Amino acid sequence: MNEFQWHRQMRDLAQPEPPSRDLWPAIAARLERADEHADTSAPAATLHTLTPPVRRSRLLPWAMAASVAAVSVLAIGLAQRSAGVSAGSVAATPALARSWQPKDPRLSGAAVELQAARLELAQAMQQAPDSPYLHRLMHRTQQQQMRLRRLENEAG
Amino acid sequence: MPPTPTAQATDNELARDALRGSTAAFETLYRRHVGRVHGAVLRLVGYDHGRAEELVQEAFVKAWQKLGSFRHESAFGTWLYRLSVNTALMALRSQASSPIYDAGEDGPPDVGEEPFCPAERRELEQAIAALPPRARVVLVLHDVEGWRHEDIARETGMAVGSSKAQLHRARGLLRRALGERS
Repeated sequence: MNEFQWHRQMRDLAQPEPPSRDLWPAIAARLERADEHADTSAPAATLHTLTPPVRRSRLLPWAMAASVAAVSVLAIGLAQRSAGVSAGSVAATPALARSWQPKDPRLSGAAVELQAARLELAQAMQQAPDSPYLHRLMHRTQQQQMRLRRLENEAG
Repeated sequence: MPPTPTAQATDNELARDALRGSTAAFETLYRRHVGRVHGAVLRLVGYDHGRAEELVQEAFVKAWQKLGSFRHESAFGTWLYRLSVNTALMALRSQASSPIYDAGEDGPPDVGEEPFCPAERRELEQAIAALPPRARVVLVLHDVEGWRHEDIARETGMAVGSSKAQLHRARGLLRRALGERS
Protein backbone atom coordinates (compact mmCIF):
# COMPACT_ATOMS: atom_id res chain seq x y z
CA MET A 1 0.00 0.00 0.00
CA ASN A 2 1.52 3.34 -0.98
CA GLU A 3 1.31 6.55 1.03
CA PHE A 4 -1.58 7.91 -1.01
CA GLN A 5 -3.65 4.78 -0.52
CA TRP A 6 -2.80 4.76 3.15
CA HIS A 7 -3.97 8.32 3.71
CA ARG A 8 -7.09 7.87 1.62
CA GLN A 9 -8.01 4.79 3.59
CA MET A 10 -7.43 6.57 6.88
CA ARG A 11 -9.48 9.58 5.87
CA ASP A 12 -12.27 7.28 4.74
CA LEU A 13 -12.63 6.22 8.35
CA ALA A 14 -13.54 9.76 9.35
CA GLN A 15 -17.22 9.27 8.71
CA PRO A 16 -20.01 10.31 11.05
CA GLU A 17 -21.14 7.25 12.94
CA PRO A 18 -24.32 7.60 14.99
CA PRO A 19 -24.50 5.49 18.15
CA SER A 20 -26.41 2.24 17.93
CA ARG A 21 -29.07 3.59 20.33
CA ASP A 22 -30.56 6.99 21.03
CA LEU A 23 -28.49 8.57 23.77
CA TRP A 24 -30.71 11.62 24.17
CA PRO A 25 -33.07 10.24 26.87
CA ALA A 26 -30.09 9.43 29.08
CA ILE A 27 -28.50 12.83 28.41
CA ALA A 28 -31.76 14.65 29.12
CA ALA A 29 -32.15 12.74 32.38
CA ARG A 30 -28.62 13.68 33.41
CA LEU A 31 -29.22 17.35 32.61
CA GLU A 32 -32.38 17.28 34.69
CA ARG A 33 -30.70 15.49 37.58
CA ALA A 34 -27.83 17.93 37.49
CA ASP A 35 -30.17 20.92 37.63
CA GLU A 36 -32.31 19.39 40.36
CA HIS A 37 -29.23 18.62 42.37
CA ALA A 38 -27.98 22.16 41.92
CA ASP A 39 -31.30 23.67 42.96
CA THR A 40 -32.09 21.57 45.99
CA SER A 41 -29.01 20.42 47.77
CA ALA A 42 -25.86 21.80 46.24
CA PRO A 43 -24.06 24.87 47.48
CA ALA A 44 -23.70 27.93 45.28
CA ALA A 45 -20.41 26.66 43.86
CA THR A 46 -22.09 23.52 42.57
CA LEU A 47 -24.98 25.53 41.23
CA HIS A 48 -22.46 27.53 39.25
CA THR A 49 -20.99 24.37 37.81
CA LEU A 50 -24.17 22.62 36.78
CA THR A 51 -26.59 25.26 35.57
CA PRO A 52 -26.31 26.87 32.12
CA PRO A 53 -24.68 30.29 32.39
CA VAL A 54 -27.64 32.51 31.58
CA ARG A 55 -29.81 30.78 34.14
CA ARG A 56 -27.02 31.29 36.62
CA SER A 57 -26.80 34.95 35.71
CA ARG A 58 -30.52 35.40 36.40
CA LEU A 59 -30.07 34.09 39.91
CA LEU A 60 -26.75 35.78 40.50
CA PRO A 61 -28.05 39.27 41.43
CA TRP A 62 -30.35 37.75 44.03
CA ALA A 63 -27.67 35.52 45.39
CA MET A 64 -25.34 38.51 45.54
CA ALA A 65 -28.00 40.60 47.26
CA ALA A 66 -28.43 37.94 49.90
CA SER A 67 -24.68 37.65 50.32
CA VAL A 68 -24.32 41.41 50.67
CA ALA A 69 -27.10 41.40 53.23
CA ALA A 70 -25.43 38.65 55.20
CA VAL A 71 -22.07 40.46 55.16
CA SER A 72 -23.78 43.72 56.07
CA VAL A 73 -25.53 42.05 58.99
CA LEU A 74 -22.24 40.84 60.30
CA ALA A 75 -20.40 44.11 59.70
CA ILE A 76 -23.11 46.34 61.13
CA GLY A 77 -23.63 44.05 64.09
CA LEU A 78 -19.94 44.07 64.91
CA ALA A 79 -19.59 47.81 64.40
CA GLN A 80 -22.55 48.57 66.62
CA ARG A 81 -21.42 46.18 69.31
CA SER A 82 -18.00 47.76 69.45
CA ALA A 83 -19.01 51.39 69.07
CA GLY A 84 -22.32 51.15 70.86
CA VAL A 85 -23.94 53.55 68.42
CA SER A 86 -27.62 53.68 67.67
CA ALA A 87 -28.69 52.34 64.31
CA GLY A 88 -32.15 53.78 64.47
CA SER A 89 -31.45 56.05 61.53
CA VAL A 90 -30.88 53.08 59.23
CA ALA A 91 -34.56 52.14 59.32
CA ALA A 92 -35.73 54.91 57.07
CA THR A 93 -37.63 53.10 54.30
CA PRO A 94 -41.37 52.90 55.02
CA ALA A 95 -41.61 49.25 53.92
CA LEU A 96 -38.78 48.36 56.19
CA ALA A 97 -39.99 50.54 59.02
CA ARG A 98 -43.28 48.58 59.07
CA SER A 99 -41.40 45.36 59.77
CA TRP A 100 -40.32 44.12 63.17
CA GLN A 101 -37.72 46.33 64.78
CA PRO A 102 -35.70 45.19 67.75
CA LYS A 103 -35.73 47.41 70.79
CA ASP A 104 -32.02 46.94 71.17
CA PRO A 105 -30.48 49.62 68.93
CA ARG A 106 -27.42 47.45 68.40
CA LEU A 107 -29.56 44.95 66.46
CA SER A 108 -31.59 47.43 64.41
CA GLY A 109 -29.16 47.64 61.51
CA ALA A 110 -29.04 43.87 61.15
CA ALA A 111 -32.84 43.69 61.23
CA VAL A 112 -33.14 46.27 58.47
CA GLU A 113 -30.61 44.48 56.28
CA LEU A 114 -32.32 41.15 56.73
CA GLN A 115 -35.72 42.61 55.99
CA ALA A 116 -34.32 44.28 52.84
CA ALA A 117 -32.89 40.95 51.72
CA ARG A 118 -36.24 39.31 52.39
CA LEU A 119 -38.09 41.88 50.29
CA GLU A 120 -35.65 41.46 47.42
CA LEU A 121 -36.01 37.72 47.57
CA ALA A 122 -39.81 38.05 47.62
CA GLN A 123 -39.58 40.13 44.44
CA ALA A 124 -37.32 37.54 42.83
CA MET A 125 -39.74 34.79 43.80
CA GLN A 126 -42.55 36.59 42.04
CA GLN A 127 -40.54 36.14 38.83
CA ALA A 128 -39.40 32.63 39.60
CA PRO A 129 -41.88 31.19 42.11
CA ASP A 130 -40.73 27.62 41.60
CA SER A 131 -37.04 28.20 42.14
CA PRO A 132 -35.91 25.97 45.00
CA TYR A 133 -32.75 28.04 45.20
CA LEU A 134 -34.66 31.23 46.01
CA HIS A 135 -36.84 29.33 48.47
CA ARG A 136 -33.71 28.12 50.17
CA LEU A 137 -32.31 31.65 50.39
CA MET A 138 -35.61 32.91 51.74
CA HIS A 139 -35.67 30.17 54.35
CA ARG A 140 -32.12 31.05 55.38
CA THR A 141 -33.00 34.74 55.65
CA GLN A 142 -36.03 33.96 57.79
CA GLN A 143 -33.90 31.79 60.04
CA GLN A 144 -31.46 34.68 60.47
CA GLN A 145 -34.34 36.95 61.39
CA MET A 146 -35.47 34.44 63.99
CA ARG A 147 -31.95 34.25 65.34
CA LEU A 148 -31.95 38.00 65.65
CA ARG A 149 -35.18 37.88 67.65
CA ARG A 150 -33.69 35.22 69.89
CA LEU A 151 -30.61 37.38 70.38
CA GLU A 152 -32.79 40.27 71.47
CA ASN A 153 -34.78 38.08 73.84
CA GLU A 154 -31.60 36.73 75.35
CA ALA A 155 -30.24 40.26 75.75
CA GLY A 156 -33.46 41.06 77.60
CA MET B 1 -40.04 30.64 27.85
CA PRO B 2 -37.48 29.86 25.11
CA PRO B 3 -38.96 29.41 21.64
CA THR B 4 -39.49 25.93 20.20
CA PRO B 5 -36.57 25.10 17.91
CA THR B 6 -37.26 24.73 14.23
CA ALA B 7 -35.50 22.55 11.71
CA GLN B 8 -34.37 25.71 9.91
CA ALA B 9 -32.72 27.29 12.92
CA THR B 10 -28.97 27.64 12.66
CA ASP B 11 -26.65 26.02 15.17
CA ASN B 12 -25.85 29.41 16.63
CA GLU B 13 -29.53 30.23 17.11
CA LEU B 14 -30.10 26.87 18.77
CA ALA B 15 -27.05 27.36 20.96
CA ARG B 16 -28.44 30.73 22.11
CA ASP B 17 -31.81 29.13 22.93
CA ALA B 18 -30.08 26.31 24.76
CA LEU B 19 -28.11 28.87 26.72
CA ARG B 20 -31.43 30.35 27.82
CA GLY B 21 -32.37 26.93 29.14
CA SER B 22 -34.13 25.28 26.18
CA THR B 23 -33.39 21.57 26.30
CA ALA B 24 -35.45 21.19 23.10
CA ALA B 25 -32.93 23.39 21.26
CA PHE B 26 -30.11 21.41 22.78
CA GLU B 27 -31.72 18.16 21.68
CA THR B 28 -31.83 19.47 18.11
CA LEU B 29 -28.12 20.24 18.36
CA TYR B 30 -27.53 16.76 19.73
CA ARG B 31 -29.36 15.15 16.79
CA ARG B 32 -27.42 17.23 14.28
CA HIS B 33 -23.99 16.51 15.67
CA VAL B 34 -24.09 13.19 17.49
CA GLY B 35 -22.91 11.24 14.44
CA ARG B 36 -19.69 13.16 14.02
CA VAL B 37 -19.02 13.33 17.75
CA HIS B 38 -19.71 9.65 18.32
CA GLY B 39 -17.62 8.64 15.32
CA ALA B 40 -14.58 10.52 16.58
CA VAL B 41 -14.93 9.28 20.16
CA LEU B 42 -15.52 5.71 18.98
CA ARG B 43 -12.26 5.73 17.02
CA LEU B 44 -10.34 7.22 19.92
CA VAL B 45 -11.49 4.56 22.38
CA GLY B 46 -10.66 1.78 19.98
CA TYR B 47 -14.18 1.01 18.78
CA ASP B 48 -15.41 0.19 22.26
CA HIS B 49 -19.08 1.03 21.64
CA GLY B 50 -20.21 1.02 25.25
CA ARG B 51 -17.38 3.30 26.32
CA ALA B 52 -17.93 5.61 23.37
CA GLU B 53 -21.61 6.00 24.19
CA GLU B 54 -20.77 6.75 27.81
CA LEU B 55 -18.26 9.40 26.78
CA VAL B 56 -20.61 10.95 24.24
CA GLN B 57 -23.20 11.37 26.98
CA GLU B 58 -20.54 12.90 29.18
CA ALA B 59 -19.49 15.25 26.37
CA PHE B 60 -23.03 16.50 25.77
CA VAL B 61 -23.60 17.10 29.49
CA LYS B 62 -20.34 19.06 29.57
CA ALA B 63 -21.36 20.99 26.47
CA TRP B 64 -24.63 21.97 28.17
CA GLN B 65 -22.74 23.18 31.21
CA LYS B 66 -20.17 25.06 29.17
CA LEU B 67 -22.52 26.66 26.64
CA GLY B 68 -21.65 30.04 28.08
CA SER B 69 -18.06 29.62 27.00
CA PHE B 70 -19.06 29.09 23.35
CA ARG B 71 -18.19 32.43 21.80
CA HIS B 72 -19.78 31.93 18.37
CA GLU B 73 -16.36 32.63 16.82
CA SER B 74 -16.10 29.09 15.49
CA ALA B 75 -18.84 26.80 14.26
CA PHE B 76 -20.81 25.20 17.06
CA GLY B 77 -20.09 21.77 15.57
CA THR B 78 -16.36 22.40 15.71
CA TRP B 79 -16.58 23.59 19.32
CA LEU B 80 -18.64 20.55 20.30
CA TYR B 81 -16.33 18.20 18.41
CA ARG B 82 -13.25 19.58 20.18
CA LEU B 83 -14.95 19.38 23.55
CA SER B 84 -15.95 15.77 22.89
CA VAL B 85 -12.48 14.75 21.73
CA ASN B 86 -11.09 16.43 24.83
CA THR B 87 -13.53 14.48 27.01
CA ALA B 88 -12.39 11.23 25.43
CA LEU B 89 -8.72 12.18 25.80
CA MET B 90 -9.20 13.02 29.46
CA ALA B 91 -10.85 9.67 30.04
CA LEU B 92 -8.01 7.88 28.28
CA ARG B 93 -5.46 9.88 30.25
CA SER B 94 -7.14 9.03 33.54
CA GLN B 95 -6.54 5.35 32.87
CA ALA B 96 -2.98 6.00 31.72
CA SER B 97 -1.44 4.43 34.81
CA SER B 98 -3.60 1.33 34.69
CA PRO B 99 -2.18 -1.92 33.33
CA ILE B 100 -4.80 -1.87 30.57
CA TYR B 101 -3.39 1.32 29.17
CA ASP B 102 0.10 -0.09 28.88
CA ALA B 103 -0.91 -3.51 27.66
CA GLY B 104 0.59 -4.42 24.35
CA GLU B 105 2.88 -1.39 24.16
CA ASP B 106 5.73 -3.42 22.76
CA GLY B 107 4.08 -5.79 20.34
CA PRO B 108 2.11 -5.32 17.17
CA PRO B 109 -1.64 -5.55 17.52
CA ASP B 110 -3.15 -8.93 16.81
CA VAL B 111 -5.88 -8.66 14.21
CA GLY B 112 -6.38 -12.34 13.65
CA GLU B 113 -5.36 -14.68 10.93
CA GLU B 114 -7.71 -13.54 8.20
CA PRO B 115 -6.04 -12.11 5.08
CA PHE B 116 -6.15 -8.32 4.86
CA CYS B 117 -8.23 -6.68 2.21
CA PRO B 118 -7.97 -2.87 1.95
CA ALA B 119 -11.64 -2.64 1.13
CA GLU B 120 -12.58 -4.22 4.43
CA ARG B 121 -12.98 -1.27 6.64
CA ARG B 122 -13.89 -3.37 9.61
CA GLU B 123 -10.53 -5.08 9.61
CA LEU B 124 -8.70 -1.80 9.58
CA GLU B 125 -10.85 -0.63 12.47
CA GLN B 126 -9.96 -3.73 14.41
CA ALA B 127 -6.27 -3.13 13.78
CA ILE B 128 -6.58 0.46 15.00
CA ALA B 129 -8.54 -0.68 18.04
CA ALA B 130 -5.74 -3.07 18.92
CA LEU B 131 -3.07 -0.34 18.90
CA PRO B 132 -1.69 0.88 22.23
CA PRO B 133 -3.89 3.77 23.41
CA ARG B 134 -1.39 6.61 23.02
CA ALA B 135 -0.33 5.48 19.58
CA ARG B 136 -3.96 5.01 18.59
CA VAL B 137 -4.94 8.49 19.80
CA VAL B 138 -2.17 10.15 17.77
CA LEU B 139 -2.88 8.05 14.69
CA VAL B 140 -6.62 8.71 14.83
CA LEU B 141 -6.23 12.44 15.45
CA HIS B 142 -3.53 12.91 12.80
CA ASP B 143 -4.30 10.47 10.02
CA VAL B 144 -8.07 10.10 10.40
CA GLU B 145 -9.26 13.39 11.89
CA GLY B 146 -6.62 15.52 10.17
CA TRP B 147 -5.19 17.29 13.22
CA ARG B 148 -1.74 18.87 13.21
CA HIS B 149 0.93 17.61 15.59
CA GLU B 150 0.92 20.95 17.40
CA ASP B 151 -2.81 20.59 18.18
CA ILE B 152 -2.41 16.97 19.22
CA ALA B 153 0.45 17.89 21.50
CA ARG B 154 -1.56 20.68 23.11
CA GLU B 155 -4.64 18.54 23.70
CA THR B 156 -2.85 15.44 24.90
CA GLY B 157 -0.19 17.19 26.94
CA MET B 158 2.68 15.55 25.12
CA ALA B 159 5.55 17.18 23.27
CA VAL B 160 5.26 17.71 19.51
CA GLY B 161 8.22 15.37 19.06
CA SER B 162 6.46 12.69 21.08
CA SER B 163 3.36 13.08 18.94
CA LYS B 164 5.44 12.53 15.80
CA ALA B 165 7.19 9.56 17.37
CA GLN B 166 3.89 8.01 18.44
CA LEU B 167 2.50 8.46 14.93
CA HIS B 168 5.55 6.79 13.42
CA ARG B 169 5.19 3.96 15.89
CA ALA B 170 1.45 3.62 15.30
CA ARG B 171 1.87 3.46 11.55
CA GLY B 172 4.60 0.88 11.91
CA LEU B 173 2.50 -1.27 14.22
CA LEU B 174 -0.49 -0.96 11.98
CA ARG B 175 1.44 -1.90 8.86
CA ARG B 176 2.92 -4.87 10.64
CA ALA B 177 -0.46 -5.90 11.94
CA LEU B 178 -1.97 -5.65 8.51
CA GLY B 179 1.04 -7.49 7.11
CA GLU B 180 1.59 -5.01 4.27
CA ARG B 181 -0.66 -7.27 2.28
CA SER B 182 -1.23 -4.96 -0.65
